[in-house]
Amino acid sequence: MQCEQLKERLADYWAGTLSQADRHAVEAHVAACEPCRVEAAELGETWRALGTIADEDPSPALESRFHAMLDAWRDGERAAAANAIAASAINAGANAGVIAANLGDNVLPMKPVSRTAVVHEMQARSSQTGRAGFWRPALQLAAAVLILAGGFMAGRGWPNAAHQEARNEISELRGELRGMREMVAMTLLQQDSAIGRLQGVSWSHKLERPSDQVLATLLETLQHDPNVNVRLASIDALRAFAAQDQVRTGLVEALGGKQSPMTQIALIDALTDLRERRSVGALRTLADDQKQNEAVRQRARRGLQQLSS
Amino acid sequence: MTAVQAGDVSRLGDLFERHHRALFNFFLRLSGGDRQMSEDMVQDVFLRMLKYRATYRPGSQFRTWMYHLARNVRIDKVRARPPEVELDTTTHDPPSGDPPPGDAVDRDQQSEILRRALARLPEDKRELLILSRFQGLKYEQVGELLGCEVGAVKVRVHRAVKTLRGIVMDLTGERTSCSANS
Repeated sequence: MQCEQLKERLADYWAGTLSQADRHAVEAHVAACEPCRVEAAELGETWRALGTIADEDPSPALESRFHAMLDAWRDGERAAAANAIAASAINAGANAGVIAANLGDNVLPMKPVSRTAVVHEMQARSSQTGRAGFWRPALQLAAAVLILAGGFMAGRGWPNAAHQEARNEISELRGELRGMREMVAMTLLQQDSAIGRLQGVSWSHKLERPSDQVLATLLETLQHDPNVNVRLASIDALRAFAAQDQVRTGLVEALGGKQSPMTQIALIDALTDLRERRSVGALRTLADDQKQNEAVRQRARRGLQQLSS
Repeated sequence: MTAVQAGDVSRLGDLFERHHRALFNFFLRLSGGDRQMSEDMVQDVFLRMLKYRATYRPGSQFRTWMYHLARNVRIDKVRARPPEVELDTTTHDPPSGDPPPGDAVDRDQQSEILRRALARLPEDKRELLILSRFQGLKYEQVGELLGCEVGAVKVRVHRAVKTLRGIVMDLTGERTSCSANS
């Protein structure tokens, strides 16, 4: 074996994919060739050492996001299928109406063309075949009317039923979409990165009626998030849901807790705008506390004036 | 995958269970330790499996197809990313919990050096080593993915290990005749 050939075989040698004969050939060459022996030993050591780099685990959020994606995909497929069914039902209903109308037109001409002719025919048949003969065209006429009426009902009623079904589906999908948005918001709010959590706050804005769990997570973010930008964003998001008492209570409690001056000012502004009188105690404490940032104290004083006016 | 292809998309959950960790580590090593981006890319791979399920040929190697999607996801991500973003070659935080015993400390240090050396490898060599050493693909599969002959893959693996060895020596200040003479 030549030194160049060895270079081609080493990768297989490390991976353990050489035949026994080739393996012996490699080992024989490195035993006889000093430069190749050194190189094979050093590179082999590096190859083996790579095996010490352990795999890492992704965060649990990855699995949640995957399942949310999969659910959303399935919902999309279901919605597409429901739309297709609704569209075909509408077409089928309309076609049934047309067919029935045609049947109604065609049944009569198959028999006597005019009412007089029908009577003549009935009389003739009655005289020939008795009462059974009399009923035959009448039954045909009744059948034609029934089919016609059925056609109209199908033409009008079936699409309505299909529409109703589609409406129910859409309502169900809306519910599922709302649930998915909530889950995405919750997942993002628990991200390690501040950008991820900011996205979570932003997602929560898209919720018309966030669940108590989402509101509690937003309030938790406001109280404890290490990043001031995330905390400030959570105040903006919570203001949008201030109609809920737990939000107002949470904002008041946050003002009474330990916060950075920027967050305190944003909270004072929010509670003053909301005219939340339960914040008066916390505002007074801030205004009187000489250790507080001067800008915070001024804003607290102004807030007190606004709430008392 | 054939079940997913036939319309039973819930079976994608099985594929996720089986492969998401390997994919995550593939992206993690390629990106030099960017966990957030790696998770985003794993998610994107599974989304593409749904979107492009018709392109999977039943009977072919699923993992080769999966890494084909994964490579495309990464290419798109790198293109979309601002060019000034550099690889994270900083030291990773040690795992929490009890301090490891002596041997484990050495092993952790060695792993850390290798991780940093990998991050400094040129992208094509890094990808080649990750695919063949960590993702458990055969050289034939790597060749199929990279569009080259299996013989060329083996020679390139040899060169990549040699370059990596040189970087390790630089990092530890122990550059030897092997890398100096290369």
